[in-house]
Amino acid sequence: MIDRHLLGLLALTASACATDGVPWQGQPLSDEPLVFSSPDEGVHPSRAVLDDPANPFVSGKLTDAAIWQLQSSAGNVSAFYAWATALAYGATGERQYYAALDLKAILEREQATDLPAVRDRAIRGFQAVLTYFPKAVTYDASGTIAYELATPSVIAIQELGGTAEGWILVMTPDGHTVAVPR
Amino acid sequence: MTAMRALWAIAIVAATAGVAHATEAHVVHDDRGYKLQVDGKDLMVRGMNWGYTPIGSNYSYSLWAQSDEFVERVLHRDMEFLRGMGVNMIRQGPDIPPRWVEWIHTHYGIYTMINHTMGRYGATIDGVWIAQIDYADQHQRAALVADIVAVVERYRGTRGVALWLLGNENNYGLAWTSFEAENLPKGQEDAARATALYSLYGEVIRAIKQRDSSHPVAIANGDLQYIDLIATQCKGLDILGSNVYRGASARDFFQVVEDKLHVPAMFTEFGADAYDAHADREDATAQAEYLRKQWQEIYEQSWGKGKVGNAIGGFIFQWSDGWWKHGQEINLDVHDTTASWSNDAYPKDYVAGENNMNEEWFGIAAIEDQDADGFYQVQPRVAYYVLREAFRLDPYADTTTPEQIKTHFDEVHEGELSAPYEGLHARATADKLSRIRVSGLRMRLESNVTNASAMSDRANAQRFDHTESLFVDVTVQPTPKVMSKATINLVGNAAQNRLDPLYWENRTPRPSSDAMTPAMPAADDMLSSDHVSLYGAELHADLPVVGIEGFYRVGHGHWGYEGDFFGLYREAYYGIAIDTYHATAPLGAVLSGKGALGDIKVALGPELYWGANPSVIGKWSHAFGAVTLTALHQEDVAAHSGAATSSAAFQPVTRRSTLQAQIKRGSAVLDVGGIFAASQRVGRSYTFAKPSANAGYLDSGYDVYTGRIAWADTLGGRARLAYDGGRARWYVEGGYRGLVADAGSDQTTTFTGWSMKSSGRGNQMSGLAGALLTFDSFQVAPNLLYQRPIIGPSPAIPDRYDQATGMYYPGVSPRNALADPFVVLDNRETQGMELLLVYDPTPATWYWNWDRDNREDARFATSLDVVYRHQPTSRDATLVILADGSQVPSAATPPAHDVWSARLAWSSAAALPLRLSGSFYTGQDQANAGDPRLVTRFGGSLRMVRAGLMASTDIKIRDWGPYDYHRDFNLTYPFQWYGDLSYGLPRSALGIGDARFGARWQLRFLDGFSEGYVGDPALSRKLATESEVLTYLEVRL
Repeated sequence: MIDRHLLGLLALTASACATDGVPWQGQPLSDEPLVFSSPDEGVHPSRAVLDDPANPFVSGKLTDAAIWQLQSSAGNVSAFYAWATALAYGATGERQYYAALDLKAILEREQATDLPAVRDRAIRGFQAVLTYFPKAVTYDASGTIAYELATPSVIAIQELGGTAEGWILVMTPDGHTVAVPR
Repeated sequence: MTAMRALWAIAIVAATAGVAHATEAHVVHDDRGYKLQVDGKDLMVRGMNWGYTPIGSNYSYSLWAQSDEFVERVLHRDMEFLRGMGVNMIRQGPDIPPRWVEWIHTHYGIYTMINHTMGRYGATIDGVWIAQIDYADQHQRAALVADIVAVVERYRGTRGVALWLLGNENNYGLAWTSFEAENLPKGQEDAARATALYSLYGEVIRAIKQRDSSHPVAIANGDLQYIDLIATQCKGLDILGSNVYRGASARDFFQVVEDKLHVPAMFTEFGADAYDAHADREDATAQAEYLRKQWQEIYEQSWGKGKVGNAIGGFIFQWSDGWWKHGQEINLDVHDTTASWSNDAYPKDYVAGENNMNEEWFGIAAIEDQDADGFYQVQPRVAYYVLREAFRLDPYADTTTPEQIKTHFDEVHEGELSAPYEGLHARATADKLSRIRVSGLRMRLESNVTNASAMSDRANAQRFDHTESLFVDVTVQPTPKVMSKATINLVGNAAQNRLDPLYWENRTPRPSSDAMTPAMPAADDMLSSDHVSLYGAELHADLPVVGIEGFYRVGHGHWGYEGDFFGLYREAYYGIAIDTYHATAPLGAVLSGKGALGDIKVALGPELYWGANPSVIGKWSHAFGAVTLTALHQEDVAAHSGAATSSAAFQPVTRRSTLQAQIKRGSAVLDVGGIFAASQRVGRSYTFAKPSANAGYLDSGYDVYTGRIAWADTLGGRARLAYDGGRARWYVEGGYRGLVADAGSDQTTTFTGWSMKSSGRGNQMSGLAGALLTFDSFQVAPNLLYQRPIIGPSPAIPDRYDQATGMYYPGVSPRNALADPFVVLDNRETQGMELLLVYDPTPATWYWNWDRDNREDARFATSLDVVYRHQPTSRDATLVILADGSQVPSAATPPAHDVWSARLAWSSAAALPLRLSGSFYTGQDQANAGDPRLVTRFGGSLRMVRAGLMASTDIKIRDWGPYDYHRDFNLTYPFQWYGDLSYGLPRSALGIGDARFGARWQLRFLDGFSEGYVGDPALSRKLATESEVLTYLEVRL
């Protein structure tokens, strides 16, 4: 800013580059119930979460490390916003899965004003994993062992009372349940 | 003793012979008029403005720089035609070597008039090229006199030289705005400058006569303008030469010359064009009729015919068509039918208010069917045959009375003599007038063998593959003024094993699951539709009120020299790059107004230049005396979807308005301009950081703020003052651009080929200054740059969630063009220094021409450009292209670090037709996407062309690979080498076209920094090797 004054263009620059004047200090994460601002928020390919005024993660760089920390330690609503924001900036199956998983937790803990809408959104979120990211995986804490996300997504949909479109659960010879496309 | 006597005898005879054979010419005058006598004989000058410029070349071409074999081939053909017609003298500039003057006279008996244009088209004075001579400047006058005297000394003993001619309608040059022909000036408004011009003529005439009394001196005036000044200033003038375009009759021309000057008169240019601008068709018969009547008048006004008696002949303008004359730098291979000036003395195609003089059609011979050596065929028009008949009459024979002249010329009928031209030309004309035709074919067949060592991922790749490609040019020309051409490409197979896999024929990208792997093609996935594609297209329409130039993958220039001070309409010549990345740019059209709309241009299209958004750009420019005002507005109408490569990456949708004033005063030019841009971004927020007095935000050392774009951030300004002082030229410029006042970079060339220029990006203040100092053939050109972003780059600060307090601290990342309203990239803080050294002994052929390797005529010319950039800060994130074509910000940014480069280039025309050129470069630079490893690189090239033989080689050491993503991701090779050797068969070998066959070699070493290296990077001394041999055959019809 000093450089601009050096130019002697005070009149010009005085109105330019208007700042809020207060340096960033961090922000407390709210425990307020979730209120959707659009019908597709948190479901790929919608990026509406970036326009949600309640989303605390729109500004600034949201890193994976912080997201995992939020997932493990912050409230479900904050974690949902974190995953949904990351999903909007760069879509992966893992981000979609955890956004839906957090919605499911919000539903179970009744942390929203419109719970039927949350149920619907969670089902659509899991379905988006199956539709857009059928081979998506997540990793364990070591980052080396991968777990596929289609099976827990189908199971979650069923637990939420929905039907996974295009997928069914089958039993493998060794007794495991896995989801496969119809 | 006997031997000594014999030697002396030979020497005396040789010396005597030399003196005896120098041509002598004199004007004789008696009461019946004037005659020219050459070597003791009466001679009416049946002259010709003769020259040789191949199709595709322009004024910079010199026949005399070609091989003796080629010159003789041209001269034998053309002089045979001229002698057969009865031409006895040609007009030549002082670049014709004296030996060729003698050769022409010896073999064909044709004399030469040596014409020094006396600075009409500029001159080299003290090693500096002066484009516009100031005839009042004593230093420039003295230099011109000295140069002309040197010319006289050089030629005066040459057998065949008959006359001296000075200038070429230099009086018109006082009023015209360029070197192209314009409407003939009527008045005498420039009397002061004209006095200086004609007094110089007088000075030169006296200087010549002091040295040579054997050759009369003439001037080439533009008609009779300023004839009173000629009378007072040009004492001693022997012949009044004049370029006369008065139609069928010169009317009172001869009488006025006699009344005012009392010297013989000679047309140094006259004639008519062979194109009917009104009917839009060739009219060789009308041209012949004009010339027949003009020559009849010369005969009638010559010695002893009872009239004025002072006509001694003329030089027909001209022998063959000049396809370069309209535009002079563009469309050189197009026979332009544009009429560029108006003359009511040619009523056959004159319409009031419209132009009727077609500069490219003045030849009495058409040219066509040029071969690869630049040798074209000539087809004499009707005028040739008409004048051949007319010239059978001896003007000075006792029997040649006025009645005999009239009878003789009346019996020469154009209609009867049109058959030879029309008949022989009919087939070619039919082809040209075909509305739809295949106008060209190019077939290229390639086969290649690739090898790779075990530590390359190509180790097990296919070794042999082949490529077949056919390009078909289809031309549609519904009227002579509307022409479109499309080039269709058909591909058979596209080799999949190339070391450089991105090339035009290889179209289908290989799907990749790895997002960070750049797209690679694969033939297996090539769809049938990919075998046929539109390679390029262009449209040219010359309509009454507007000219239209449409383009698809065909390059165009910028408007930087037309007042586009902020680079809104950018140059779009990309060479091979648009093939490499399958770019669909440039795509659009330019509409240029005419007449009352002549100040307006509009460009519109989906991608006017590579990476541009669909947009419309309008320009208005008008001169008010010494001040020219230019206004531009650009409006993007949508966002461009997708980018082929990072060098043509995303630009946000914007609108821009600029206003520029250019003020010329003497040798100084001042440009001042302002810009208003990107108002769409007003109100958008952005993040910026300032060094903190304490630990700062998240212990980063910075305090972080949120800003918001304001209206003032859309404004910018720039000013540049340039002074051309001949030997010393300099410029200074300064600019301020608000945060979002983005525009294009400076694409113009100021004085010389400096590579360090102003970035057009917003968010910066900048200053540049440079000087060009000339010492004869040497130039020293220092150049300085200072630029600094108004708001610097954003640092990278990771976010954090504090579980104990429940506080979230958002992270900060470098800005990028996708997410932020502005960025710091090429506007990063820089203090740059450049030193450019040039040695160019022939400044008339500008060293910085883009095709220098082919045009530079110096025996040796070279340049050394050294650039150092001090970059004390980093920058924001650039955009890179991923395998799926998506654009993402780079993960990191280049750190603060200084960079430098040095480049030596040279070319040589010392042994024509052999041309040599080469370069050497070195430097240290950064990758684009943030890898901190600095690259110190070296390399060079050598190119040789001789007749059909071409050889070239390129070497790069520790340099990036050939594609943009190599530099983006810092992929380097320890060694890269290319070699190419080819030979072009003469057209006669195939009869119908040109063929070139050759081989290309490629070798490179790979290490852990190279793409495709699969060895252990830790074992850095273990290099992988890849090589390729490619043979090719290319046939053009």
